[in-house]
Amino acid sequence: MKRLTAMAALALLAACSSEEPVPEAPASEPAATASASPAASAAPAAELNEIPAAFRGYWDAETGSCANWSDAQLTIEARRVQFYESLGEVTSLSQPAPDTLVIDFTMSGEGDTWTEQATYRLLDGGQVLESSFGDGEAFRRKRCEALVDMPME
Amino acid sequence: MAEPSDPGPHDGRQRIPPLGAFEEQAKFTRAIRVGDRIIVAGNVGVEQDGSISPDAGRQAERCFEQIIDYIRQLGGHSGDIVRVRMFVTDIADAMVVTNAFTAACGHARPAGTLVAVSALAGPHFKVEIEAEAIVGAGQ
Repeated sequence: MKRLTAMAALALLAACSSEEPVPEAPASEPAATASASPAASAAPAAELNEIPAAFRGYWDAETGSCANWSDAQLTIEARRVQFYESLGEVTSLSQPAPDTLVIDFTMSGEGDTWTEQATYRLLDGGQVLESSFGDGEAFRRKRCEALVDMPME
Repeated sequence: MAEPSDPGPHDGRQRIPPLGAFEEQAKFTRAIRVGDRIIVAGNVGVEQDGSISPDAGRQAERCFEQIIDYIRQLGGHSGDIVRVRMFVTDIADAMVVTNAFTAACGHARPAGTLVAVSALAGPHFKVEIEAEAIVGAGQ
């Protein structure tokens, strides 16, 4: 059965009617490119004030489409991350390996505020990001050039 | 989610705050209360840390966690649920999703529908669930 949910219909509507480009990230924010090298961003943990450029940008589930309506999307900026119903503001950063980042966040979402530690690891030359929060299972996302208006199938 | 800014139309209907930018762009609401009736839009099982379990049963559990949270935000509780619609991409997952339904709201004995569909918003999603509640209907 082909299903077109109300939300999907809205997505189609939005995709059809929106002429606004996907907002570009501020120069100092995501906008990491496919050529970003994890090794190039390695720095002593004590010197890290911002999330290295290689980790920044837009990410979606490995099987996702990088659509702006994707519930699996993750946006990483210099000092914060955004994903499904949640916003994380960086409180501390360490980089135990060039491809690995450990971040303490103050999280907010769903009306709550809490603290969380996440580990992000770059794979496949920086095109895949594996994230894990606390003792949670690791979850992988692929890099997106942007989050784009896209009709649901 | 981040930076919700639009509280929605001032039409007397109660909504949970927007939880993401796309909600504001598309102008939809994840849960709305009209009178004593609460309608919760389709939920997918994204965990609080943004991950998605590959397990359909866990995805369903997470859907119900969110649904019940939204209903509470709007003044109801799980016992007020009167209708649930469950969509799965593989009918073989029907039982594990039903188990999540029973655990979450079986005590309210709501009308329940479970159907298989060809696709959800992404291939990583195996379940989507929506619900309706009537505040005061439950014990």
